Amino acid sequence: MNESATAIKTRGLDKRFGAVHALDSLSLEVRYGEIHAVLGENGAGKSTLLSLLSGLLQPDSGSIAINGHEVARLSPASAARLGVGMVHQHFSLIPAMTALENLMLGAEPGVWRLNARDFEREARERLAAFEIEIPFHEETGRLPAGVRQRIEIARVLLRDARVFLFDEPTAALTTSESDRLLETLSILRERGAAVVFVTHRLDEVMRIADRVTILRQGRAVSRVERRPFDSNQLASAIVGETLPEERFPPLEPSSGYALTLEQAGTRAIESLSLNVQRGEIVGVAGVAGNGQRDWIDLILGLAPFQRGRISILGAEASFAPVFQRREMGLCYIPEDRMSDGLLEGFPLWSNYLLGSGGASWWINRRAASAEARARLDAFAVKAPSVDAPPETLSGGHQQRLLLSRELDGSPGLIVAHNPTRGLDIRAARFVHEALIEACRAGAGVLLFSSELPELFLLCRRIVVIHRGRAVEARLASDWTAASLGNAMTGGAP
Amino acid sequence: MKIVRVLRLAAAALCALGALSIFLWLAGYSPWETARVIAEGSWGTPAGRMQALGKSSILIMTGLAVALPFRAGLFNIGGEGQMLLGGLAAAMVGVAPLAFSGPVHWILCLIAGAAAGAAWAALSGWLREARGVHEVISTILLNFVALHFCNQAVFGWFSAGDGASRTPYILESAVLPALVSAGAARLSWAIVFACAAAIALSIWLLFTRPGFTLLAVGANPDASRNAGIRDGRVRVAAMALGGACAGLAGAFETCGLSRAFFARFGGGMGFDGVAAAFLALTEPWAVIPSALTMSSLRTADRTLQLEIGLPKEAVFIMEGVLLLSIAVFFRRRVRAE
Repeated sequence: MNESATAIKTRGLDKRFGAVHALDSLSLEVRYGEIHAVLGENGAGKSTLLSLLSGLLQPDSGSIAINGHEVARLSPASAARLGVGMVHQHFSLIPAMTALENLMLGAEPGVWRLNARDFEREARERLAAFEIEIPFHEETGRLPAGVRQRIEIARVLLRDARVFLFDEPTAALTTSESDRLLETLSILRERGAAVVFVTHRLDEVMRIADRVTILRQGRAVSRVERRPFDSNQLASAIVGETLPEERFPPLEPSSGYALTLEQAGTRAIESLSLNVQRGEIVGVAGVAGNGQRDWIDLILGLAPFQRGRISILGAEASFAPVFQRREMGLCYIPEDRMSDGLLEGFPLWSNYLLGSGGASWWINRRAASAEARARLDAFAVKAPSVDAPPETLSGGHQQRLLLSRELDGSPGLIVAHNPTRGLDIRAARFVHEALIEACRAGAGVLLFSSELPELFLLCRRIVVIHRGRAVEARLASDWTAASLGNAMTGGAP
Repeated sequence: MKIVRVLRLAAAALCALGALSIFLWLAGYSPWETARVIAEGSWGTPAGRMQALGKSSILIMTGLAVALPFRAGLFNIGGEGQMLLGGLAAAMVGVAPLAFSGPVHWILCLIAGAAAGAAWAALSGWLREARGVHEVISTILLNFVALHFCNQAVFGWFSAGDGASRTPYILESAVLPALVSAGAARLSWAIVFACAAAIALSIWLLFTRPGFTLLAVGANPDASRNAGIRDGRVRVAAMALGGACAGLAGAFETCGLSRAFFARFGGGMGFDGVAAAFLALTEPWAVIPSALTMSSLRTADRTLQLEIGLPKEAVFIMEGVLLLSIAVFFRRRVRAE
């Protein structure tokens, strides 16, 4: 394979969704033997680009050439025939099947003959060349995200793909899993494959990309052709301005507690003691899956309360159901905006009705729309109209929408779970400022985050969660990287 | 968006009519002739009109019994059992010699029917929330319990005697007043109540907070729970509301049409509600035209057989084709969870 041969070349790709110009005459060239990073904010057009390249969507105008030949109408099937494979961000494996069965799906050697043993032997050989190891006979649903992703890659690989499209592949992975994935990408490159790597994680780009294209509002605003990259330059190209300073000025807590847990427990939690003062952001650091969900269920009132005592803004709330706690001043920013916070297919104005304990029987549409308009404007949510459904907004603006609903009317206690997950720098910045603002107004914030820089940026105190227990709580300034890392992994802090 | 829906509906109707025409033509019947006979057999005579509308009043209610819980994310297949119990409850109240004048007696019958259906459906809702029993399973099984309980009543403790497979006739005061009558044929006010219920429920869903809450729970139970909605209660309430509709269907049948609770009461209209609801894309007001269509076909079935020799079961094929083409053109609205 000629290393510098062009794998994909697009010219003037254009795609609109209604009023949104998702891609604006984009030209892009991807070569074999390179990792081409596509960086950009949420809504910059990255996912649209990949959908066009993999044949899931058709461009309004412009052309796509694969291996030097222009393809008139690319479909997922013809893209696969031409060697272009998409590694899906949301895994498309069947959880109840083994890895082997998933690999064989859609790649069956013949209609009548399905020889699993031959298939496995051949697959093992071919994957070994790429140093990809897979537990062939384990049920896919029980495997960690990183392994499932390897199966996805293997599936694309076994279909003779030479061009790999990755859509934010590290979003759902732990750090070590990400490292392993990046290694796999380098091996793919060494073997002459072309890799398109869509991400908004700068550090990963700095580590492995050969060339970088930066998208902003559907246009390629910057291309960096060779290493070394300047991270500040890349970051400012993404945002379109220089990066803000690194740390918010520390807030001094005011008197009174937003939340106190005294040996509180549910079926899942033995005993949890914790407090959050008003005007203070307390971070909860921990490896995902260490019981964060159980803590949130306890504080929100979703899990049946069994022991101890919970009070919100000084008032007893142990047995209060969710709606009463919300009336007491609790609000919640869930990890998964669309599935845990918003109503798909419902107009924006009615999304604001969710959780608002209005007393009236009738819904006054005009008033609700006007109020929605005001709140959308206050949080600068980019939405075509108050009648549009939330799924038409980009991830960052969905989060703004959610914040504008939850933070309305001076909340006393904010529980936020990975509030910047999947957001670009600017959207994340907006979320941070909104939390700080609420804090200044007297709210206490309990911030569950898997991003340590975020915790250090915002929090006065950081609690470490490990296997459902609060291991240690300290002022943020008293934690070191080493002590925190130890506490999170179960060592002595 | 509205135009798209209308166009889709037109396309679905055209597809169904086209497919049916081909089917009839292949079987040796004239599609035009068939259409004419259906129209005349159901709407051509006063008796036919009254029969079609009378059936519609039942079918609208059993359709609502499916449509409403469906919008809350539940599939109520128990309309049949809820309808039976509603009919039986209405019959029991209907034979009670109450010393009331005016409409009180039949109103009490309707309330009894609605309450019986609601309680039976709420049981399924409660089983789901408290014990995790899927509502499809429990409603199907409770249908059998209701059916055999009602049979026990008809043939046993509540039988009219003399080997009649029915309960005693209800008192005159418990009979729904007639809207129109022509000779022996009679149409009760049930059709008006049913249409009013369908329209009221559509308005309720769209313009009130409780209605919005029901829709929100159906669309996204997790987001609703996080927002403080007690989604379990909402689901139980939605089941109860659906059951009340089915129970009213039974009461309409007892107090408006049959005047007693019979064996094989309702003729399977509880199950037909599923088709009526999905033909209406689970939109309450749209259950009215959907039920009217189905009952017109059912009313004309004998005429079809007599006049052109088309087996009367052919109307079920027609219903099936209609429903399928709706499902094809509106797959999102006809898909369970």
